[in-house]
Amino acid sequence: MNIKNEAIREMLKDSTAGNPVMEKFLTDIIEHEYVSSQFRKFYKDAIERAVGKGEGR
Amino acid sequence: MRFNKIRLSNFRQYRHMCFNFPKAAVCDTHIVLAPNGVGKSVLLNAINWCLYSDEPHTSGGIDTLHPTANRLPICNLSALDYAAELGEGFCEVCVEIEAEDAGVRYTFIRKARVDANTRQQSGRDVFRVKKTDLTGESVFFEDEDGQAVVNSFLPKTIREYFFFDGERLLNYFSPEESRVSMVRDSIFEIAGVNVIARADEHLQITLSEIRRELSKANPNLKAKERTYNDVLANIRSKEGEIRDLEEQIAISDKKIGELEKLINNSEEGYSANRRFDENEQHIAEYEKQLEVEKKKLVRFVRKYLVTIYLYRANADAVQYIREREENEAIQPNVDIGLIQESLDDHMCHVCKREITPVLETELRRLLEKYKANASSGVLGAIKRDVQAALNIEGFEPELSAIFDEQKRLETRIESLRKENDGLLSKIGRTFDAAAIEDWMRQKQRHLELIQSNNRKLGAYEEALNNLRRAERDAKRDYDDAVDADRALEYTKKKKDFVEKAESIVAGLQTRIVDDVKRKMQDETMRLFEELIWKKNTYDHIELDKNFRLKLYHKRDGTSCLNSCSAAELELLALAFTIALHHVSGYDHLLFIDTPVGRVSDVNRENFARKLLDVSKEKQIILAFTPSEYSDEISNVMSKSVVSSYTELKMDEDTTTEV
Repeated sequence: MNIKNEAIREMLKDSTAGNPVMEKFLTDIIEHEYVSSQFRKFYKDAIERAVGKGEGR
Repeated sequence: MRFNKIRLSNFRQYRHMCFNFPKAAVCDTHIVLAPNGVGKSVLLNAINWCLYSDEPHTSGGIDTLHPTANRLPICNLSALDYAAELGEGFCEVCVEIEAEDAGVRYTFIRKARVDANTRQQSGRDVFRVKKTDLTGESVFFEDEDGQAVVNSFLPKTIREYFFFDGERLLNYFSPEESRVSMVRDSIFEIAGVNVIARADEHLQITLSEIRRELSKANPNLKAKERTYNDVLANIRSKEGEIRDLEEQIAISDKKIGELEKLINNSEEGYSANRRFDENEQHIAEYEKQLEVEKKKLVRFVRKYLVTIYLYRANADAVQYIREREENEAIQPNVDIGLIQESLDDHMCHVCKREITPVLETELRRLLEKYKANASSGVLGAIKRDVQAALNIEGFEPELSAIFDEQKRLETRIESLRKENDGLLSKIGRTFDAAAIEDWMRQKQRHLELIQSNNRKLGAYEEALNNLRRAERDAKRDYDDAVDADRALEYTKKKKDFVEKAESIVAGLQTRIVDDVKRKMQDETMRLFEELIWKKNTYDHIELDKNFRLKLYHKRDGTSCLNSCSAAELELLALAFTIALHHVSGYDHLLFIDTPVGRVSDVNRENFARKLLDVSKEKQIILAFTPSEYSDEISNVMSKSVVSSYTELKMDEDTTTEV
């Protein structure tokens, strides 16, 4: 877990209440931001996974 | 993260040294004790060199263009001499740190080769990280990959909040813009605000790419997309203008603060100088009056000198004459001439009556008697004069009055001179009336600039609101056009999803900044109250939007950071640092070199108690000089309480030893 600030996790949970797909997506991309500046592929795949799981349908 | 070991090999004055930092007590505190020049800062530099390949803690700072200028080679000089003697071409420098984080062990190793003859580094450093997980399986990372591992723990930009020189704490709240933005950026980095901002920026880029994809698939959308993008670009541009204005207002605000400080300081010098001149005038007046009093004294002496000098003789003479009178040895004070004239004229020259024959006979008898004793008449005359000389009533009050006045004037002059000596030091901070006028003008200009920028800001914010309304309209048009094309349904879903995600992250950014600010304010104040010796002096701490710290005084509620002593500032900065660790969730170690150089007495004890308390949750390594490790510290951080205690000494002025 790269997110050191516990408040970020709590706020993420709060802001995405009732939408676990969105919570997972945002947690993944924020965790990724801690370790890499390359975002395009990671974001593209994460969006595909999230939308493929039914988000927005 | 905590350090278990630091091994140094040929690193500056360390030949071969291993520092062990076992958690051997409840308090994970480790003391390194060394006199100046023996290697405390070198140890701090060794940590930095191993993890980040630089040595930021040098006495004069590093010349970034010529980092080796005016510096000895990184390699131990004795080791280099020995290598040269043996004919070996190179000598290896190595720093190795063994650390652990949540049960996972890390070994960071950096090595460099130094030419034994030229004493210059040969080639690049080699950096390696070994990561051993809970199962005992190890993975190795070399150079840039290794650096990425370090950055995932502790990015270089924020290392100053974990390994630092205590003296640095003094400049922590410097009003310099670079320092302020550094503190703000570091807080944003440590607390994760920057990560959220980067995620938001990347989501915006991703979103615009998805929109482009939609437009490409349906050319009819292109015009709508362009309109929408234009509005978005206008919004970004307006937001940028607003930020510029806000920055300009902040700069003017800061400049006004600086100018006020200059004006106040100079006004202090100016009024000190005016007071000095007034005092000099008073001194001159008093000295004139003193001269008058001295002349009075001279006149007094002249007036009374002979009288005083002859007082005893005169008193004796009067006494002698009185005794003779009592014995009737002296005739009454009679004018013989007057008797003779009265006899010659047969008429008394005193009562103007005729002198009878009886009276004439008596007068002739007395005349004969007085003529026979003429000297006694002289004595009678002397007695009158001498008696008058003895009448010196008023002598003492007159003299006292002169002396009292002289003393009053001298005391006043002395007091004014003393005051002027004190004023001289204030005046020493030179003032310049023309400069003050110029500063006042500059201050006025900045005040006007703030007013004008605030007016502009209002207009810009209004324009931004209009643009946001236009954005909503353009987006609705664009979304309607997308909806009309069912073939783009899946891409549209992605667009909707990313839009929603971006909006959440944008909101999260604002919330996290507010949250960090509020927690930092409360936590810093709480810790500062525990560290500081003054209780009930400070009321609260406020961080402005740039995270510039203000400390408010309890009594009058004004901001008083600039009135704090060096020790108070150091303790406040320490409280701020520890608060940042708590709030950000970074549970890494804290290494402080010369932690209490400016702090004394009871503050040292508070410092030791607080740090010991903090070390129950995180590792703290403190490098003291022997004078710093005073009774106030050693009584609290005794060898029996801390986890390790290492004393360093210098061998033959070249090599540091335990």
